[in-house]
Amino acid sequence: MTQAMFEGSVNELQGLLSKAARGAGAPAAQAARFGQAGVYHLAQGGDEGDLDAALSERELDCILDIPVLIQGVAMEGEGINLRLKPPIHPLANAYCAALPQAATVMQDGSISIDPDTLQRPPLPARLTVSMRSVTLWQALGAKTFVPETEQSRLAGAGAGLTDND
Amino acid sequence: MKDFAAPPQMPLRPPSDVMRLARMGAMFPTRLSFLRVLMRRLASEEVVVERPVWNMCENGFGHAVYSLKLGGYTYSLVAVSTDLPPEKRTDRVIAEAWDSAYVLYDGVPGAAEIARICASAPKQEAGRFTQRDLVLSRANKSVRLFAHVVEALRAGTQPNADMIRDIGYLMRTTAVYGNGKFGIADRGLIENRPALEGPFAAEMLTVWMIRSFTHDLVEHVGQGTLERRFKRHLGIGNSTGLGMAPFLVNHPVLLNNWMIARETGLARVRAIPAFDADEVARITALAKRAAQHLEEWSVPDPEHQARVTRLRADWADFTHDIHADMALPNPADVIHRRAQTMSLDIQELAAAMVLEPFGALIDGLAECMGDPFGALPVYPKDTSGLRADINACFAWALTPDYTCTDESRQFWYVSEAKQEPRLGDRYAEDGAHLESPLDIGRRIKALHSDLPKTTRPLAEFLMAHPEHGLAIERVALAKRYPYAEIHDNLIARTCLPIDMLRCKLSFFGASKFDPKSDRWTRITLCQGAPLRDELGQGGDDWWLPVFGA
Repeated sequence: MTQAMFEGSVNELQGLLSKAARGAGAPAAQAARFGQAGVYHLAQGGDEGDLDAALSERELDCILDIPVLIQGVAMEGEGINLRLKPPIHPLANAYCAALPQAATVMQDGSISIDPDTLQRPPLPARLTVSMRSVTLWQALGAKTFVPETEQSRLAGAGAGLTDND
Repeated sequence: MKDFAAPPQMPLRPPSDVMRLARMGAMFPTRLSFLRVLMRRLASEEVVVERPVWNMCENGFGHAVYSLKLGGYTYSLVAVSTDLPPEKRTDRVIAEAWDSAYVLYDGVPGAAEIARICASAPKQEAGRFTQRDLVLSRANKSVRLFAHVVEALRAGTQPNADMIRDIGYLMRTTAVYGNGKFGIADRGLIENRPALEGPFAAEMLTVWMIRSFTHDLVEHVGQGTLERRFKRHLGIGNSTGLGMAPFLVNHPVLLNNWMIARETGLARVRAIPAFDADEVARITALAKRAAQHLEEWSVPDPEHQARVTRLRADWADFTHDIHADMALPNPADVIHRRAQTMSLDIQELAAAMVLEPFGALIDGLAECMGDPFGALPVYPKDTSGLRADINACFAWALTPDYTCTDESRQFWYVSEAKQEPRLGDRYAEDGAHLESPLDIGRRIKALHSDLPKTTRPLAEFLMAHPEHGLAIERVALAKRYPYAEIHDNLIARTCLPIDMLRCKLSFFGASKFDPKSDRWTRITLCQGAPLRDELGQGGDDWWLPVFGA
């Protein structure tokens, strides 16, 4: 049986992944990084299952740790030796690709960032993922939405419900 | 490679002055506004707009296609007009049907593509789109004016001039989506195309073409020709709500680049040693035009109308002595300094006015208003450096006591109903645990509180406190992007989102702000802008448009 597929723009998938990460419990900054890395992972032919797994409770640490570690490397702190734990997570390269600067994951788990070279690999016009994953990401993202109440419907947006002027 | 010396300039107004909500909520469009930049480009290329398809019934329902060549590419607006029952007409995001729907298409659509768009565009958020679809939009009629113009044209007369002047648009857009939403093209696909490199350029092109469509539609249904002066004044309305506010917080580099371009323009103009006779005449005319514009700016909300009325009187006082100002050295600076003794509205109106005659000096700054590289934070090495940066750039964030209910009264969130952005009362409504991270000030203060007394490597601190990742990044952006942050508490009871909306909309080129609440406004875009058959005539003189000009 053929699996149902979803073809979307990079931005909508990035947004979807970011919301899913927030819904899964990641703080805002890490969730945003996950969305950026996620589309690079897909664009580089990575397995969408890696993204699904990262969003699971068991592996959420990757969403929390990798961007923080990369941010730490960018800080160039003295006396700090930051490395990814082996085995290198399949999303690590994508996190580096999403940086504006040239960045590489080395074999020993260290990350090299060249602050003077601005480069970001181009992204395709479309990305295709399974509807199964999209449904999972949407369900996680929906956890960040506030259920509607009559009060929020009437007052939350500051506008009325009809505009027949 | 030639080196170009930057023009002389006065010091920029500091971020602590510029990036306050109250001032942002007093901004006016300038010649650096995106619509102005686009219209100059359209005029310089003498763009010709064609209408290869017009398939409308006598009541104005059907579809049309407009095409133009710009920067070496062809773009088409596909407009779909439908019969909307009055009870379904709402400008809210939660709407599910509209009077009209639009797609800006990459190229010229064939019959199959037109059919696809006609089927999907009216569904808006519920539809799916392709990478050939660059922008998605929809608009509702100003029923009163549309019906009146149709009636007048059908009677062989022209509409009531007062109604044209006072309402100023036949339709208003209620969303203009770009950058990949619902499957349309990512901005990355077009950001290097000539004429579309600037922020929101594709969206502004769409809006200007929709305006043309509304003119054609009313003439079609009315079976008559609207006077050119009326069409010139009929822009395109827009209803804007809270969704626009988070954009400014979530795109700090863009906000910085927009602000710094405008501030640099002002600083350059203030450094002009003297005005020549033409420049004096131009400022004089602009001051008079602004006065007329203010006279024509009337809104139903009493509080805002009172503000406009005050501004009219203050502007008359302010401009009374402007000739004397212009006789002094550095006349724009003199005008600017005298404005500082008056209201924020006067200060911002004067700033926008003095920019207007000096396109040669400032128009190039529009090229710096994008964000081609992404955010490039400058991290300090240790926690002491971070503390120093916070103290230097974020005093505004440290001042409020966020444990006080008034300082944390509001929370921003996304409703499950069509993902409409909304604002809630933290102490009266559920959902604050799902708050959107727009509380930058509170996050900075929390970070500041958690910094260790002894200096530690920043990376070590971050590893121990990953929850501060966002705040650390915002602090690290401040050095390179000094105008990236709004220097106010965005969750305070006193925070008025309308100020953020006005700031962003003024960069679009909006005028006639007509707030319907503190979080929702109507505006007019393209009022006074060249019509599609006027692009060869220059057409850059429509700052603060007035009726009949």
